Amino acid sequence: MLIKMFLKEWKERIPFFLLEILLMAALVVLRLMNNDLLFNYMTGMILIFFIPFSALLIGSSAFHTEFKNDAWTYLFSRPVKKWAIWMAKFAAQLTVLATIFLLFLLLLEVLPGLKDVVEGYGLTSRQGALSMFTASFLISVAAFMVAFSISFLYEKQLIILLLTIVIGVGSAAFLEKFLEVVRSWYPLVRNIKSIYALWPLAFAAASVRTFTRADFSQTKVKILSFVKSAVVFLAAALMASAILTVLTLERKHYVFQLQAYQGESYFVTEKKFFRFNPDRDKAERIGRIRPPAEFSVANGKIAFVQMVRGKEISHQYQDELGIMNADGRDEKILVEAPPKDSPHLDRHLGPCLISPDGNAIAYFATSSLTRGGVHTLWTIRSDGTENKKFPREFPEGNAIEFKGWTKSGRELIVFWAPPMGAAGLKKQLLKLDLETGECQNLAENVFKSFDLCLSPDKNYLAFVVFDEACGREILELMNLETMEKKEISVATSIDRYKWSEKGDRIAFLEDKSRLCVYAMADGCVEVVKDFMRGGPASLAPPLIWASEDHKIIIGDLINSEPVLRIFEAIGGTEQQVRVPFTSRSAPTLLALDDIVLVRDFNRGRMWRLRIDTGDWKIIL
Amino acid sequence: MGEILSIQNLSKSFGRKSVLRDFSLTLEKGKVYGLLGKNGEGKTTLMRVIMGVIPSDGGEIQYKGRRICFNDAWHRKEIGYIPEDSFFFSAMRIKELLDFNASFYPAWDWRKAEDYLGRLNLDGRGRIGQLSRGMKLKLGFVVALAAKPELLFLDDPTSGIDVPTRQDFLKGIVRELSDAGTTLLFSSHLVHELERIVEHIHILDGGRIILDEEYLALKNRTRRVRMEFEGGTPDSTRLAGLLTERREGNRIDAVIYPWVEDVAKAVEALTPSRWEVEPLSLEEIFMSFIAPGAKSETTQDRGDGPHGNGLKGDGEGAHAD
Repeated sequence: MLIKMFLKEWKERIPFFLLEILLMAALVVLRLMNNDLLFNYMTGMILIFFIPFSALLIGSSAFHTEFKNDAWTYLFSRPVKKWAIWMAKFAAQLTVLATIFLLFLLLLEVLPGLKDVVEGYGLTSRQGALSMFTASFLISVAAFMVAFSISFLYEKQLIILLLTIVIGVGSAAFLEKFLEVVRSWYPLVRNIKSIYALWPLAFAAASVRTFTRADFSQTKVKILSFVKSAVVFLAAALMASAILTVLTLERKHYVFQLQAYQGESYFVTEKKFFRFNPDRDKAERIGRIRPPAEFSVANGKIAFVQMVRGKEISHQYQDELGIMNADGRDEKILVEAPPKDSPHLDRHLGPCLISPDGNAIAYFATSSLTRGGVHTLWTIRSDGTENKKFPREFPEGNAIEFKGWTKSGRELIVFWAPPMGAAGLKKQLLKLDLETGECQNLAENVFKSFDLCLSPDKNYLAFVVFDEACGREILELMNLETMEKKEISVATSIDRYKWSEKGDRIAFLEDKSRLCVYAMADGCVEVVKDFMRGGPASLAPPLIWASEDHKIIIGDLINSEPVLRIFEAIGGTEQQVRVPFTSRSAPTLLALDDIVLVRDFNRGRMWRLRIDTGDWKIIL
Repeated sequence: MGEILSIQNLSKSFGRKSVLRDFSLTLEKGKVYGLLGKNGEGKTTLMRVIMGVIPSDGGEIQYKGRRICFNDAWHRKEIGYIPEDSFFFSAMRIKELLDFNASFYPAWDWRKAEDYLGRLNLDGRGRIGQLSRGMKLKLGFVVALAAKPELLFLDDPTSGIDVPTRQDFLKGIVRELSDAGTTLLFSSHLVHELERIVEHIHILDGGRIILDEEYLALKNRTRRVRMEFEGGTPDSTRLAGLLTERREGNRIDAVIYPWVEDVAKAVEALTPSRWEVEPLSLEEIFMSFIAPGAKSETTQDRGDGPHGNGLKGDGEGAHAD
C-alpha cells in the first residue's frame, strides 16, 4: 500500500520533471549553438536557482492535494499509520528531487564542457570551497526538508514557500552567529558543522511528531504543536552537535605547535605534550597540557602557557605559565592562574620564550579587549623568582611575537603590528633591553613576520620590509652587533626565508615560484630553481632545510594533492614525493636531518618521512 | 451478540468548547445503531476520534476488546467510515481510487466494488474532480463497502443523495450489510429515515449520551398524553418520566418516557375530563428528548429492560440541562 502512495506522489510531481528536463534540454541546445557565455550562465542558473527552487516547490506542495481536496479525513481514516503516510510522501518526493539530480549527473557525463563549468561532481571545487553541484544539492535538500516539514501546517502554498525562505535565511544567520560564539569560546571546535545537517533533520523530526499527534481540525493547535516540537528538536540538534564535537575531539589530536630542538621534535595537541625522537622513531607523550597551549624549548627545558579554570573566579578560565624538563619531568607552575588581586587577572598569557640557557622566560600578558587589549611584557626566572614587568606597554595590536633572545641573553627581539587602520603607526621590529628597559626600533614596515628569524648563532636577523615607493618587498639582513643592514633581494614578493642549520645560508622564495639561496660567505644570491607552483597563487608554500643543509623541501599542492618537492640545495635537482593524505592546503613541515615531519591537521595526524628511503609512518 | 466497540469516558474539546464529556458508549456486533443529536453535539467528532482522524483529550476506546491508540491503524482495516462529505483526490479516476484503496484493505472485494458501481450508476473511468457532491457520496459508499467492514460508521451520508438512491440505499444496502453481520452506527438528520432501519438508538446531547435504548422499546415506552380539563389545568402535573409538556387553554400535551402503568394512574389522578395516549414517531421522540425544557426523573439503572429505562444522567435531571 505504501508503494501505491509512493506512486501517487510521483504522478503528482510529473510537472516538475518536465520543467527540469526542459531546462536541461535548453542546455543541450546552447551547447550545440556553441554559445559558451549563455551555456555557463544557464548551468549556474539551473544549479543555483532552478533546482533549489524546484526543491522548495516540491517540498512546499507536499500536502497541497490534501488541502485542495480536503482529503485529510479520507487519508487519515485509511488503515495506515500516520508516520507511514509522512514517510511515504517524504520518500517519494525526496526521490523526485534525487532523480532531478541524477538527470543532471547524466547530463554531466554526456554533455561536453558541462563538467568544466560545474568543476565535476566532487565535494569541493579546486579552490577548496563546496563545488557548485554539491552546494546546489545541499541547499536543495535542506530547502526541501524544511519546506516539506512545514507544508502540512497551512493550506496556502505561497505562505509555506515564503516561510521556508524566512526560516532558511533566519537559520543560516542564527547558526553563523552561534558558530561564531562557540568558536570564540573554543577555537578548536570544527565538527560543530554537523549542526548544518542536524538542523533540517530537527525540522523533519518536529514535523513527524506533529503529523502523528496533532489535531488537523484545529490549525492553530497544529501550528503551536509544531512550534513546540521544533524548539525541542532544534535544541536537541544543537546539543547533539556539541556532543558529536566533543566525541570527535576526544578521538583526534590537533597538532598546534611544532618545534625542533637538538635533533628532536616537540609538539602539542589540544591535550598533550609529545616529543618525537628519530632514533626511537616514535612520538612519546611527555605531559598533559590544557589548550590553548604555547611552548618554547631551550637547554633541556620547556616553558609553556596553558589555560586553567580560575582558582578564585571559578566561572572564568585563566592562563598559567609553567616549566618542565624536556622529558616532561619536574613540572612546575611559575605564574599561577591569577587570584582576584593579580595583575594578570583577566589577561591572556602567551606567547612565551625561554632563554637559550633556560634560566629565564619572557612572556606577554594581554588584557581583554574590554580592558584595552594592552600587551605587557614580563620576564621571570626559571625558579619562579623575579617576575618583572618591562616598562613599555604595547597598545592593542594585530600581533605581538617573540623573534628570539639576542646572543647576550639580555635583549629580546620582538615584532609588533599596530591595529588595523591605526594612523601613523607601522609594523615594527624592536629590540628590548630587559635590564635598562630601553626599546630600540630596528626596522619599520616589516612584512611577513612569521618568517622573520634570527640566525642560529644569533648574530644576524633576516627580515622583509615593504618599500612603499616602488611597491616591492626587500629581504634585508641586519648584523645585530654593528646594526648594519644589507639588502639581499628585491622582488614583488619574498617569502619563507629560512636559515640553514649551520647558519651560513638563507633560502627563500621570490615571487612564490623562484627558489633562491643567499650565501653569507659570498654575499650573493643564487637561483636554485624556477618552478611552477600548483597551490593557490596567493599563498606561499612552506619551506624547510633538511639533510644537513643539502636539501630544501617545499610543501606544495599539485593537481589538488599535497606533495613534497625536494630540491638539492646546489644544482636544484627536484624529487617529488606524494604526501599520503589529502589536504586543501600545503602541509606544515619540520625537518630533523633526514627525517621530515608532516602535519595532517584535518585528521589530527603526524606523519614521518625518511627522505632517503621514502618511507612514511604515522607517529601520532 | 458480543461487544464490538466500547468507549469509556471519552472527552474532546475544541479550544474552550467541550464537545464530548465523559462520553461512554457500547456497540454490539451485528446491530444497526442510530446516533441522534443536534448539530455540533459531537456526532462527527465521535466518529473522527474513533477513526483516528483527530485525537481525543482523554478516555479509552476498545475495538473487539483491544485498546485503540490514536496512532494505531490495525482496527481501521475492519472499520469503514463514510463521512458527511466525501473528499478524494480530484485528479484521480474512480478506478484508480478503488485500486488505491484496495491496497489498504485485506478483505477488499472487487466483485462487490463493481456491483456497487453499477447499482449507484458510477462510471469507473470518470474523473473524481468531475463528480457532483452526490456522486462523490456514492463513491464514498463504494470505497467503504467494498472493503467489507465489520463496523461501519455513516455520518449523515444520505442528505446529499437523491431520494430514489436513498430509498434503494436504505432498503437495500444497509439491510444487506446488516444481514451480513456488519455493525452500523448511523447518524442522520433525516431521522424519519432511520426509523425504518435502526435497532438501537443513542441520543447525544451536551457532549454525552442521554438515551441508550432499543428502538422498539423506545417506541413502545414513549407516549404522548393529551389531557383536557374542565375546571382549569393543574399548576403542575408532577408526572414521572415527563419529557415535555405543552399547555394550550384547558389542554395539556405531555410526552412521557417511560410510559408505565403507574404513570397512567397518575394521569387519572389529575382528573382530566378526557385523556388519550398516542405513540410518537422517532423524530418526535428525538425532539422531545432534546427539547430545552425536557424533564424527567432520573430512573437510570432501574432494571426495567435491557438498558434500564435507557436514560443516562448525572443528577436529578434525565440529561444535562
